[in-house]
Amino acid sequence: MEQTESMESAVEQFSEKFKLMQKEVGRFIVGQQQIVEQVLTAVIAGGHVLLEGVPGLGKTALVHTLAQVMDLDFKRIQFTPDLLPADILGTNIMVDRAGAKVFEFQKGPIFTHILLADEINRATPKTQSALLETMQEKTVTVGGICHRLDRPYFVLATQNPIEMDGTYPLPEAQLDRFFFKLSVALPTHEEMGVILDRTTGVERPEIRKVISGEEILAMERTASQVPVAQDVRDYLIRMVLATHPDNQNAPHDVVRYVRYGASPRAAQTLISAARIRALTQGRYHVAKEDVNAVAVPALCHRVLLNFEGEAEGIATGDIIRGLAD
Amino acid sequence: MDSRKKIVDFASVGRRELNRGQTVRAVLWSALAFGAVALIAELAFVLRGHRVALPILILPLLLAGGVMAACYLRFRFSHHRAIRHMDRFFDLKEGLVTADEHLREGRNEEIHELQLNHTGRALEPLNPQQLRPGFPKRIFTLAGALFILSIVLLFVDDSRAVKEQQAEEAAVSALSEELADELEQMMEELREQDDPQTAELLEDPSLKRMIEEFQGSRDRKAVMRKLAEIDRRLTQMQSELDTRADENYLMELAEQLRKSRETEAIGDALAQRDYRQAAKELEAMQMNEQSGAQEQLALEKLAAQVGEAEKSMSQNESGSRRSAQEMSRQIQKMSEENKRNGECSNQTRNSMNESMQKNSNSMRQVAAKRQAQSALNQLGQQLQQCQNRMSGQGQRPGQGNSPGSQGEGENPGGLLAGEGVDRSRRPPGMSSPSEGQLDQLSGQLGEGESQKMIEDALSGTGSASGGGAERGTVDYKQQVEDFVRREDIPEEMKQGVKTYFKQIHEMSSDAPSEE
Repeated sequence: MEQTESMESAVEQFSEKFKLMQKEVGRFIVGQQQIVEQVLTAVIAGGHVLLEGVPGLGKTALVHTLAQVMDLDFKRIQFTPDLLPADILGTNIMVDRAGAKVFEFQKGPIFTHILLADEINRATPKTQSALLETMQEKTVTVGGICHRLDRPYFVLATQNPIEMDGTYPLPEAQLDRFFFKLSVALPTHEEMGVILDRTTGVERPEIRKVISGEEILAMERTASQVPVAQDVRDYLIRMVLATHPDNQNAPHDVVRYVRYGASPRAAQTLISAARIRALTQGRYHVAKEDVNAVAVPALCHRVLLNFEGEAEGIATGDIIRGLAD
Repeated sequence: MDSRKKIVDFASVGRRELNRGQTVRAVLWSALAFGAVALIAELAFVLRGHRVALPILILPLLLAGGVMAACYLRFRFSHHRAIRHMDRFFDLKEGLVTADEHLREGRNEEIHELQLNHTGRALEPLNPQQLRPGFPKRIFTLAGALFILSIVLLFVDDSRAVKEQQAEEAAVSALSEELADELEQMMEELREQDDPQTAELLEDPSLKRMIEEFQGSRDRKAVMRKLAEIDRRLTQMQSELDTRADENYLMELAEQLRKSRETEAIGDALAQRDYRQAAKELEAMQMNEQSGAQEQLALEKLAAQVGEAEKSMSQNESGSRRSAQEMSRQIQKMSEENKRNGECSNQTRNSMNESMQKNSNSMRQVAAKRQAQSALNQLGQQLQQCQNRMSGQGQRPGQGNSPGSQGEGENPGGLLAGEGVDRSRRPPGMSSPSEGQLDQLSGQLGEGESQKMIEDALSGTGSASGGGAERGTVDYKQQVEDFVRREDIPEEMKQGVKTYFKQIHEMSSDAPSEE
């Protein structure tokens, strides 16, 4: 019973901390509650987030604010076409040690807890792919030596829509490593007014650090214990498999417009995100509505449209919403 | 209350309520199936005019039972299905499903206990009896309508046509009983005539069996068929008694004997078919010790006339001819002995007397056969009347408007009893005694030795038809066509009739060329 009470308190703390982070971020970020909630979900799950939107929507500000809320190291890389992998990962440089010249690894900005990869699609594919190992294995290998990154580690990347000039679309392998892809929408009239008030006045809201790295890891552990019923698991698997056009349960739109569906990593993402959402909703089990709620950000960058889908201007989110019961 | 127990109780009550609704639904579907199938089965009866036979309802009853069992087994809520249904119904967001899985799997970790407690708290304000499904009004209405309609059809009575048919069957049954009784009565009367040959024939077991089978039948056609069988059997029996060959010879002999004064008495008796009288006359002509030349002359005349008859009847194979031949030979022997010795020996005289006695006995036998044949004819006539009454084409004897006139009953075309019909008594394949003798053809048409003459004369109610051959041919043709169209006549008998009249036709066509 005592154990149950400890678990119960952990769940309560999870809920409190989550709300606290939301509240603190909300002190600076106007509106975008769903985006904030989903970013926090990805952070707690240890995943990476790709924020997409036209310039000036506050993507960088959101990440910056989030870094301020969490008592963690934060670094920012502005991706440009001339950025090199070594500029991100670091490099071996020759240093003088007690009269001897030795190579020493100079850590790049990637060695942090929170990495803001700003406008990631402006860098060349070669530089973009430098992030692959760090995002999946959370290690950096340079000169045959593997360097482990500190936990928690997550990449919050922003990108401009690919149809804009001077951008390089992210390779599918890298896209798949993002936990969520979130599209930042234009704020409403009222939200825009509040943004102006907060950002152009004399006083700026002071952001407090409300959570530590340890607490984030603890929240991740708590969330991973939330049970998922067989029915819900089957529902989730059916949904992921149905994104493949050659699956017998695939709906008409998937068969017609999708070239390739979501990977098993997408299912992992879904179940992790659904667990966190269940806890934030005050439940101790995952419901189908949790899966539905996180399906679009978890799957939209993993479902690739074919030529006809692209030509028709089909929104991947609509296809994914069509898979829900 | 413990959360686990609360969840289990909730699931149990909820499942019971759900299955109660499924039971109602299964009952309604079974009633619907019963009503539909019963309606079809009952319509099959009613549309044909019959009242519904109640045992036919066993089929839809069994089907309804099967439908009910199948519906319940197919749609009843299993535990897992009931849990999912309850979860959706109360919007528990898979809480009950998850809790049930914990209980089934025996999970008891902290998070599971929390989940169970959480679900238990969520179930507290909920009432599982709300799960009782609404009454399926549409199925109920449809099933009720079909059920009531099928019940109503049970009370529809037989149609008028069916009732008439049943009455007809009952009438046929009663009539067949009555006719069988009449036939048996007639046979009994014939048996009592103290004629051993008739009695022996009427003891025929196949005839008795046929009459028993025919008794109590409800099908008019079957009765007719059975009557035709009896008729055929009688014909066969009658053919066994056919004395035509004997009579032909005796008639020819009569003609010859009438030419001589000494043998005129025997000739007259034979011509009148009084064979017993002829036998007596012949016995009186026997020689004894007191007999003189006159008696001997009479015998010689007799032998001579027999010899004359022998010339024209050389083809006749009857017993009468053989007896007469023997008698003629003995008389000639006696005559020669007398001429040679002036007197005849006792032995010769005895031999002659013996042959004459034998000839007399032969004539008496022919007389007995004629009597038996007459009895069979009466029986056949009675049978014909039975057939006419069974087919509704006649009236009982004595009920005709007038003897020999056309019947005026309800059924047009019927003949009155006693008028007589032309019916060949000759078995199939048996050739006519007058075959090849064109001068006897007229006899087949109502003159001379034809059956028609004999029947009409014996029945005593008709009139002999002595019409011309041409009119008779037309009548015969009509009757033959009618006869061969009858269903109740066996095919072999029809074939025999066709063959018979074909032969007549051939003889008729040959006649002019001979002239």
